[in-house]
Amino acid sequence: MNLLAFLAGPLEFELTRRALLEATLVSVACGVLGVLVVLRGLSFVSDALSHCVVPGVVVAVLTHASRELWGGVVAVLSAWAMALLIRRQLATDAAIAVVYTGMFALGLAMISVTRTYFNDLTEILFGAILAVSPTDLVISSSVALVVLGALVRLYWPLVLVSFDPIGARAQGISVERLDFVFYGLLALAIVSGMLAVGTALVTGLLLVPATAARLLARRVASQMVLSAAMGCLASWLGLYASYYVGIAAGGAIILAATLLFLLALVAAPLGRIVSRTQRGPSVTAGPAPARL
Amino acid sequence: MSNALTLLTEPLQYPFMRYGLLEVMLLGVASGLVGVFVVQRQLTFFSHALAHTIFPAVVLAAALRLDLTVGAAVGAALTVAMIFGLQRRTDVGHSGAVGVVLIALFALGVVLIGLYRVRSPDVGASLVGNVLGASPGDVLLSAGLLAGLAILLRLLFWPLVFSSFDPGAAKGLGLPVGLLDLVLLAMVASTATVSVRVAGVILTTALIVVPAATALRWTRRIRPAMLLAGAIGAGAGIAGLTIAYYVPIAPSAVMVLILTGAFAVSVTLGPGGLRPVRFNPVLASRADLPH
Repeated sequence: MNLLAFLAGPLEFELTRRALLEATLVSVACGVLGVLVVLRGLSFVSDALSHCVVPGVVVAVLTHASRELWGGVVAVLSAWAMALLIRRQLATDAAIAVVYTGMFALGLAMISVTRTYFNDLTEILFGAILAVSPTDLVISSSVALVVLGALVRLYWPLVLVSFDPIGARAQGISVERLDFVFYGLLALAIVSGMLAVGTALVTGLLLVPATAARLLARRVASQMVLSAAMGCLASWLGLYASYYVGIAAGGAIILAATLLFLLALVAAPLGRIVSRTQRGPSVTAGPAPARL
Repeated sequence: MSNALTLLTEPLQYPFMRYGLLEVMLLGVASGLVGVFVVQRQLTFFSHALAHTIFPAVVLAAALRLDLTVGAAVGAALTVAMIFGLQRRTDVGHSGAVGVVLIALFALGVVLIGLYRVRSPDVGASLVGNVLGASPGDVLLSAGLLAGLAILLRLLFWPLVFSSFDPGAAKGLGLPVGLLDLVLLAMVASTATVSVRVAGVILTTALIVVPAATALRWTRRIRPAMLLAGAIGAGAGIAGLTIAYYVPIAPSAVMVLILTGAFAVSVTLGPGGLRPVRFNPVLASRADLPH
């Protein structure tokens, strides 16, 4: 009964109900897509993209326009530009850093023209999940649906391109068109996640649950399910901690995800030992093959 | 003519401008020196991570009334230790380890800042830097950093270059490659430690990476590239601070934008064209390049 009251506490309020729903939607979209991000070694690129969104959001804040619209346009354009740089092999990590520091500085320059910009900046960077509006919820659910739909529809091509882009091209898959879709989805997930935890922490929603899932599962589909589940669990834990302890929600969600990651880090070797003894000695049971 | 000159000298009458200018010059040169190694060794993500984890450490130290430099150094040391610990796990992956540690420590910082009720303007100010708030002590610390880096580079220049460009051969010749890597990381970490407190997160990364990347468009020789990178960093610092004196824009943003412009000009006009600079095909292919 006590536990029930504990769980029901935040559900009494409209704002916290919305926050829980928003965090769930965002965690699913980011968690599922994050697996592909990690698989393709795009941790740095996704972090760079989350910095590139900032000037768009700043324009929205300064003109009182929709953050999703401006952030979304800038995010999608930056993501496609980044995809182009990567395809042309121009995207060394230094070049990526030039792009995102420049974009971030552009946003900072614009917002610093107003005198009291620190509060706006803090909100852009760290999010304000308790201020989520019904419109935000509609947008985040659409993003989650689009991401899930695209992944169901394009699962095999996306996985194949992630593991072996040359092989995928040889099989007649249009890698360029697929990347166009993938980077577009990544941009949408970042914009949606930005509403929940802010531009500075959205990388955490993409990377941490996915990295943890990779430790525990081998098949990409299982990793995606696990990653989305851990993302949801982390955002609920974080929001409840934020509600009861009074800490910043965005940071709490990422910390909860980190906690799950640490558990996975400890559990992964144990799980491997268990599965090996269950299978018994076999000719193929050598060292686990390196994962991509 | 004299008018233009007064535009440049007028800010100098204020002590905070003098200290600020001196500080950005010192930080620019120091970052340029280590930046060439950072770009060559593809340590950009690592430096980016350091800047992000040192920032909450600094704000937290301020909240707890501890010494800021000590706080920053502890943040840097924790980051390096955790990244290296995690990278031993092959199932986490190289860039995965950097990403997770970066965002986890950053989030921890954000939560702790909230718990200690650090005011949002303070956080904002540390995030975007506070070059004009540089104290004589800060300037002295940066001068010390630059002197330390110069001495280390004077003593270990060739071993560091050799182990960076051809680690296999360096190991074969009996150079302590692991130790040299550690020295290099310590150099990057101490530069970030000194820089974040004054320059902020974004300018710290930009000052380390962008001038070096720009310089490497013009020359492929290490020593000239270091000097050029230092000059670009210091020049952008002076120009940015002077512009920010007259126009009410965050100084760190102006400096980064100048650096971005310098890179864009160098890519367009420089000898290399659009092609990325890669010295060492072995290193380039071994790193986790995105695809």
